[in-house]
This record gives sequence, C-alpha cells and structure tokens, in this order.
Amino acid sequence: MSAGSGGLEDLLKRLRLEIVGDFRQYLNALEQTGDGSWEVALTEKAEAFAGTMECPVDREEVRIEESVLCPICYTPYHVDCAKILASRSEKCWKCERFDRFDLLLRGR
Amino acid sequence: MSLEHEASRRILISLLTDPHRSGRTIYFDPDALSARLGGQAWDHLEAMIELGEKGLIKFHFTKEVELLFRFIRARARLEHVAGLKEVDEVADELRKAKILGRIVGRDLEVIRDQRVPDHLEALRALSVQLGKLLKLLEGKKLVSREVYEMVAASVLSQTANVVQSTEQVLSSLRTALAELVEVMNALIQERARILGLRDRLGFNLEELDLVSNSYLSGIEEFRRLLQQIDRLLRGAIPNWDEVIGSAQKMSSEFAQRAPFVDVVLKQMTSINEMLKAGIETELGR
Repeated sequence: MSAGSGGLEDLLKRLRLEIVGDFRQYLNALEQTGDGSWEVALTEKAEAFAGTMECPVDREEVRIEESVLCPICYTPYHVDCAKILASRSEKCWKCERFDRFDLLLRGR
Repeated sequence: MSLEHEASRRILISLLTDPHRSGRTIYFDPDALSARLGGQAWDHLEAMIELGEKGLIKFHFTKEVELLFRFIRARARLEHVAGLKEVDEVADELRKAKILGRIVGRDLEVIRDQRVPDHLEALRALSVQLGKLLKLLEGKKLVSREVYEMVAASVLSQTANVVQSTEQVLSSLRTALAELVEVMNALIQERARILGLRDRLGFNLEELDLVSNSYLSGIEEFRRLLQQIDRLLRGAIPNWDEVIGSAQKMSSEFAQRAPFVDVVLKQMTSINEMLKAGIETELGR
C-alpha cells in the first residue's frame, strides 16, 4: 500500500510542515544538472529567490513565503495582486502563458 | 551551500511553490507531491528529512502520526515473524517505519525475531508431544502408577527436546502479537474518542472523518492479520484448541517435574487470548 491510497497511511496527511530557516542559500545551488525544465526555469529564477523579489503588478517587494508564484516562470505576485489577475482571468504579466491564478488562490 | 540530494532540492522548491501553502506551513500531501515530482510518497518523506536536518523545514506532528509509526512497525514485525511477507517486503515496511521514526523522534530497534515458517516442523512435533501428554493425562487412572510414571518420564524427555526448539519462536510470536494488540487497542480507544468528539460537536469535520476512517481500516487490517496468524498456528499445531482447553490441567500435572511444559503452555494460552481478543473486537459504529 502506498501512502495516500487509503488505509492508515492516509494519516500522513496529518503531518504539517513548516518552512523555516534561510532556504535561499540552498536555492542558489540549483544548476542545470537536472533533466527537465524545472531546473532550467529555476536556475533562471534562483537569483530572484536569493535577492529581493518584486511583484510585477504593483512593483512592490514581495516575500516568497507570502507570494503566489506563476507555476511556469515562477514570477512572484502578492496574494492581493494575484487575486486581481484571477478576477480578470489575466495572464501572468511576465511570461504571458499562465492565466489560471484562480486555481492557485483556492483556499486563500 | 548545497543539499546533498537532488530530491531534497526538488522537494524544497515544490513546497515553496505549492499553491496550497498557507504562509509558512503546509500539510504533507502524498498525492500532490507524487503528481508534481513523480515517485513514491515515502521517498519524498525521506528526502524531507534532509531538509529537516538542515533546519529548512520543521515537522509538526500529532499523535496520529506517532500511532502510524507504531502501526507500521508492529505490522512489519508480525508479518516477519509469521512469514506472511517476503523479506524484501518486510524491509520496505521497516524502511517506512524508520522514516517516520526519524520524524517523530523514535528509534527503530533491531529486530531479532525468529520466523514461524522456519520452525513448522518443530511446531508439528510439539503438537504431537502435547497430544501424547493429553492422552497420558486421560489414561492416568487406567494404568498403574509405575507405568504412568515411566511413560510420563519418557514423553516429557522427548517433549523437552522439542520445546527447546519452539520456545524462542513462540516467544517471538507472543512479543510481536503483544505489540500489535497494544497498538490495536490504542487505535480502538482513539477512534472511540474521536467519534465521541464528533457527537459532542454535533457536526462532522473532514479531519475527524480522515482520522476515524484511517483508524478503522488500521483495526480491520490488524484483525485480518490476526486471523491469518490464527490459521497458521492451527495448521502447525492441529490440536491447538484441545491443548488450550486442557492447558490448566496439564500444567498442574506436569509443571513441577517439567517446568518447560508450563512455559510452553503459558506461551500458547497467552497467544490464544491475544488472538481471540483481537479477532472478536467489537468496533461499534
């Protein structure tokens, strides 16, 4: 039985994870050593993760732990800004390839 | 600074970019992680431990997760002792227990249990010897004291040899069963507590459903396991019921001159009680 397939192992879903510590230093370590677009996209984004990140909507600083990231280009948005994009079904301002911010904001 | 494993890096990014993250916290979602990264949930959990060790994530767990650790450990142990699973399958189960153990801060002690399938011949021989002792007891009044003593000495001496090779395996089985029954009782109590809580609240919560349903399937899995063990033992010791039924009488007759008979009968009675209690557990709603 694999976790998540029913049974007592479903209790793994009760495990809560808290992102703590300075994770940015580890993101710098991302290089094009992987096999897919994940690594390529993230390598491009690593500098942004490490430095100050800017929401393209209001041009204000956004902290990664409070941001909504475009799943294609990882551009960070404030939650409120992402809500505006979602309400207008607008595409990501950076890559213009993703337009389902409503999915990312479920439960927020 | 880097992370040792590529998997840990991928997990970290996945957590940071997960849309279901609420602030800094997120519940572990095996299905979502497997969909995003591929692979098995247990591999992801293992990779997360490195993140925990680097101080990048912190695990918060409730007692349900600790109970899951005990459940997996007890199940793996009993399946190993009863030979219900192959060694590599048991090793995989133990790996899961080890991963959870690292999260909940519990060590996984080395298990040195003996396996029932390796001692089936000895258990059958034990069954034969116990059958002889039963017959001896029944025929006690039909023969002279001298004859009885002579035959008893001979049967007990043969039984001593057999008991030597079955004592350890029965002891392993009893210990593994005791651990499983303890976890099973904890599951039953916790489930009753949750159902009580639901009644007091007057409405249902998704979390309560998840936990109570998980506990129920855990209890049922244990019950099926106990039924398998019951069948296994009755196959190896065909006169099991007969021996258990006369255990007290046999013990008082032979314990003084052959304490090993008392030991083996106590082991069998204890195993029988645990099996019976587990199989006949009433779950209520």
